Amino acid sequence: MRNVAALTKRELVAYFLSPMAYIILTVFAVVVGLVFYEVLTRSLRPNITMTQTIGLAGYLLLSVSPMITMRLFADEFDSGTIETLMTAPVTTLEVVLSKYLASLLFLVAFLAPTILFAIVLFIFDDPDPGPILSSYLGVFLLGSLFLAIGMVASACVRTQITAAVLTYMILLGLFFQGLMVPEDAVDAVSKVRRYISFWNHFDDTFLKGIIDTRDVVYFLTSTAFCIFLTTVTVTVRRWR
Amino acid sequence: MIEDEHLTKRYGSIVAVDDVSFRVEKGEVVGFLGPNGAGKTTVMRMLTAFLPATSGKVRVAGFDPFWESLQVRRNVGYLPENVPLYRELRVNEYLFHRARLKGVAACERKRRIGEVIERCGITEVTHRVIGQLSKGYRQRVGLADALVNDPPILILDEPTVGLDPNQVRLVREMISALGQGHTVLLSTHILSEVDMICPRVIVISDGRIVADDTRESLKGRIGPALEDVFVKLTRTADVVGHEKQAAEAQA
Repeated sequence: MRNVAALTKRELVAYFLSPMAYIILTVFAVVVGLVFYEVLTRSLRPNITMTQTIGLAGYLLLSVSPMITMRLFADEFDSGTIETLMTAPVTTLEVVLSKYLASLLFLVAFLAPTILFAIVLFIFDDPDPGPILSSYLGVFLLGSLFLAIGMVASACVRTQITAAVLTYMILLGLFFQGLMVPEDAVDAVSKVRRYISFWNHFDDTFLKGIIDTRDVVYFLTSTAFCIFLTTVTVTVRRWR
Repeated sequence: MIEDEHLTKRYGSIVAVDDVSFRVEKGEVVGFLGPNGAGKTTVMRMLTAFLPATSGKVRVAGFDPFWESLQVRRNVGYLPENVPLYRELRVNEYLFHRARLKGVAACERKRRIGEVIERCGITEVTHRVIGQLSKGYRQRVGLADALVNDPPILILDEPTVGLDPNQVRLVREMISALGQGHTVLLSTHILSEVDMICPRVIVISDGRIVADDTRESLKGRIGPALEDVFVKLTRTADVVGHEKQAAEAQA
């Protein structure tokens, strides 16, 4: 694992050498800021203000995470640099983990400015820290799943645009699975559809201040599965 | 240093490399010659642990590229065809990153990188962004990358494509100089290149080895010009292939 630091650094440099990173980060910070302002002026309950803002940040992540992950592998395959990368003495798992780690750090850079809002709230009001912390944990787990799904998609295709489109399709597909099931349905298929939809594991639990092991397990296992799938895909794609 | 026996690579029903066997000893500079699409790149990718072979036995520096892939990669400097590089990085940043990946010790890195930059003649572009460099410079940056950890084996896929005559001469002199102490396998279809730097030539056509001999003995056998050797060997293989196909079609 000694190469992870070097590879992660290279990924982060690649992010921040393109204008894309700055555009995404700026737009995200502005939109979340506006959301916070709206919620703050309309609601008189400080506990809700922060969790609602974080919930909306979750929606925003749904739209920006494909843009973060699309270049991860698609770009290497497209430009052929996968050949120099995979003939250097590094393992596929090291490469996959480094790329994932870099995208996670990018996610942290996304969420970091929102901590200012929480600080403002704590200075001028007295919110309950519990739900705010659980919402942060939830939105981080949610984002890390989005990024892992995006990474698999990026490893499957050759161009960045295809990777982004594929990721949007998978994410929206999973998202609507939960919404389309009638609330009173109890049959097995409905249960499965409700279970695979990430929003159900985020909205009613983390945002309400509940940290349920089942939801944490859902996010961690599906993220780990995506990382495994990426490793397999990158290995097998090289072999053909 | 490089041994492979009955190396075969199939893509579905297409046989890209068919029963290729050869050995390259330590310190040899071997030219890997063949028309486009003959399977040169595929063989090189199998030797560098990028592609697994469908069947056959390969040893590079005494290791198996499939099972001991990391050891092979540590011992091989590879310059792929078309020289893929990270276009957004500067030359020195790229070489620094690659040196780190290839396990060049932190205290040695600066010296090693300085050395390969000088050797490859890219001193004047060290601070330029790779994406803005000309093909010739990119080619030499790729070469510098292959050399940066001073590997005992060098596998170079068409190292002089896109260079101007002066640069070609420089690279050739460099490769000849490397021959002392390094094992070099380089692919090319530029015949004068083989004539100048490779004492031994392996000719591959349609995925099969059609000749593996010293340059002089090949010329003695077939003709004084290497071009005749090349045309004769690779055409024959083609013709044989066509005859075989025709015979199969008739049957």
